[in-house]
Amino acid sequence: MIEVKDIRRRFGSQQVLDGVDFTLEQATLGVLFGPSGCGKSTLLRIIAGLETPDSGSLSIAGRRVAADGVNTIAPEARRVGLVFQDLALFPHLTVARNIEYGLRDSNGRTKRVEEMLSLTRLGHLRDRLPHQLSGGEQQRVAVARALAPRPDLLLLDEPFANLDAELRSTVRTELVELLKGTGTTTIMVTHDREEALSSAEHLLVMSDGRLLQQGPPRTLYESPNSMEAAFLLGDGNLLKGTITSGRATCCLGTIEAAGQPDGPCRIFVRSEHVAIEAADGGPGRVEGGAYYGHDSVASIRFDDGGCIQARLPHGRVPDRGSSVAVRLEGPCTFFAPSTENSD
Amino acid sequence: MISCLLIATLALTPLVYLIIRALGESEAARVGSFLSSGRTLEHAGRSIGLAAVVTCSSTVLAFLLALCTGAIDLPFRRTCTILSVCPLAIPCYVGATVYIGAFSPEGMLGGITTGLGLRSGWFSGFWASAFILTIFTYPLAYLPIRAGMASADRSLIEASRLLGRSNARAWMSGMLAQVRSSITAGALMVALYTLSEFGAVSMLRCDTFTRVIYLEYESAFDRTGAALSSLALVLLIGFVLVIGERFRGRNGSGKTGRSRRPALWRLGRWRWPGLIAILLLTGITLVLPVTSLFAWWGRAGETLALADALVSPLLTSLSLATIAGVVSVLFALPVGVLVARHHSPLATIIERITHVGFGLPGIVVGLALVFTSLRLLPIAYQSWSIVIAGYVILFLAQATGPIRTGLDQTPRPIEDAARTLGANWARRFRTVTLPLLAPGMTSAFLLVFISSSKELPSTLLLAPAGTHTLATRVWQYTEEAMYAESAPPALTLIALSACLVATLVWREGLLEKAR
Repeated sequence: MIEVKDIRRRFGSQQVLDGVDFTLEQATLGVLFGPSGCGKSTLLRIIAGLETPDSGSLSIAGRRVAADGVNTIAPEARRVGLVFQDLALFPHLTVARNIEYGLRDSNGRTKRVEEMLSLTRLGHLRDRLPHQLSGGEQQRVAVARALAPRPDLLLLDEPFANLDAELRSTVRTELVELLKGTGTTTIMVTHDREEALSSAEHLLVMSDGRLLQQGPPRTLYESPNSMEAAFLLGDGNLLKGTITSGRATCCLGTIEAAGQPDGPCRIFVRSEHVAIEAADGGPGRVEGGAYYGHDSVASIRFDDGGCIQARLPHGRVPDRGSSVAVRLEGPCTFFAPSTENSD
Repeated sequence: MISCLLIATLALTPLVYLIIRALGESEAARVGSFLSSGRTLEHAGRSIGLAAVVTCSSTVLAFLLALCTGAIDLPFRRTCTILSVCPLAIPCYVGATVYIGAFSPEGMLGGITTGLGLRSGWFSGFWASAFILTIFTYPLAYLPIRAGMASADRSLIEASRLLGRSNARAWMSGMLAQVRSSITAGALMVALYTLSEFGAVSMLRCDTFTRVIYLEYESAFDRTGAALSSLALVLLIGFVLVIGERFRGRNGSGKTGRSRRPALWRLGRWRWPGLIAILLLTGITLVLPVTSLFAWWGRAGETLALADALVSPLLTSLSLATIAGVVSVLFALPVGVLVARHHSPLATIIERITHVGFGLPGIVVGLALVFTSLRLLPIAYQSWSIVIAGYVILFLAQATGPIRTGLDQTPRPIEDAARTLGANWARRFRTVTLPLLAPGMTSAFLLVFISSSKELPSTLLLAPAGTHTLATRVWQYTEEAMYAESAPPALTLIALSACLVATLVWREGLLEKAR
């Protein structure tokens, strides 16, 4: 189990980490997701021990590794594996020697290397040097090298950033399977939504050095606790509405809003949860559309000037200017109205 | 960190002592009279004049050669490129020896001297020095200009053609815009080299600062004068460096995107004169020196005492250069690590300090070390250790360069990776950093080794009396007009320097770019 308590870190005048708290259960894949520069890589380096936090504490598998701004256990003694963004394979060592590097105990060393080679399907490449491998193969060597010493925690820093788009999802699926198979506790950093949602068992959303929300990916996607978290995880619409006695009215009609306080509100609706239907005299008018292959997005303008985006899974966008009826088909989230612009 | 501070102190001490010696012990009146004396102004004028003439002629020559080998469909372009760099293999003082010997009545070109009725020894003075320095230092400007042309991008030229310029004008303006900073860099190198050069100007009796410093030192009555002249020379060099920086800062390269090489100019039959010009130049910079040295050697034949002229100075040179190379690499390691890994102002200052020696003329470092050793460590005066200290101060910067490059190519994450895999400091250094640094350390050693083996002025001042290296042998034989005896050590020096040129050509990737 990993426990991160109130970690803070400042670089110059910039507060990169502003009090981060979370725990991650044994054998879970946690994903740290956020825009570039939100502090997620710094947090990862602090967990690895390569940076020192200004304050806060950190324990890994029951061992306190950092407390009150001091690294009590050095990175080389932390039993934490790290797969770097650019992989950082030793260019002068063969695949087998790279994997062997972290195994200090000569007992069973050869056996462990063999195990890792077959686990990552690298047996036939054992005597190659890193530059003779493809991107995907290098990636597997980096993972095998980090896993070989059986770390208590594995950290992955944007591990797929340098792979081609096609290769990416295959390598990702493979890696997630492998990690689940070995029961390794893992924290992966990414700024790719799809990657975060599809790999995470426990998703942590970060922005500006703070953790916005954490939990299972589906919960976070469907019920974000802030507008910022909502938009970070995917596109959607923020609609103006009014709640009276458990029912909200907005451009999508009337929506169930049990337990919400009466008064004006903002309603967040994911684009794919908006369904449209051609209807003469409907309240919306199709203003434009974009075709993406697997789906299309239509923008609908209402008479009162409001606008909404609808993601249509397999429908084609109705002709520009035609009238449509619009309704909610799925969950939505209510927020108190803020000073933020709702467009 | 502490070791780095020590190294920086070591590199700076001689300069500090020189200043103390020049200003501290002489009354203000002495400084005043030095500054206002006609002789000082004359030396300064001659130094500046020589630097200006050599810089202009070398840069023009280098630019024309770069045009021929880099922009025109010249026949045998690769060979011509290498031939254009080759004069770098001949140290200027060896070049001076060769030409002085060749123009002597018994020399290869002696016929010119007797035929035109010139007095013997006519080949000396300002213009002879300018000639020798030009033909043997222009490669310092040629290398950056040629590399700049090779990495120039054709899009600028294409853009200006599409904007309506004629082909030739588009080419000239587009290319010049891109190689301007290389030209400045090359010219600066030549200027600094000329100001520091000692051997050739001394042999050719051209009284620039370097020669005057030596003469004043030798006269032994006037060491304060030597110190003051040294200081004036250092200030002059500093001034040139500052001006060079100004120029360099002004024209940024402003490169965007990936570069594709401009097409070669098709000159048709007009390309042959270019080839002939290059062959002529090769004749005076390479063929004549080497053949005339062999001719002297052949003429003397069996009568040469090779043990004295070649074997023992060779052994001395090799062992001194080896020790200087090893010490420089050992010193450059901590400095390189500090600079590449800790980006602090102090690290930058320390790096700058290790570069000070590189900018100082050998004669000044030699003189400064004489003062320093007499004052601080009289036992080291006239010992080999002080000679080696001089080499290390002069060439340390040549060693930090490749080591820093090596470290920059070893990204920090690789060391961090070793760290998360449980390797402590010592194991990380032994298994990761050191193996990845090995190529850089090798080229650092080679650079210092070769530079040390041909270093003349500081050796002349510091070597124990009665002992000789290859360089001081050539110097002494030339002074005594024993041209035949000077041939074996001179040829050996050319062979050693040829190794340096080979590494340079290889490191700059000149062969690939020439294709």
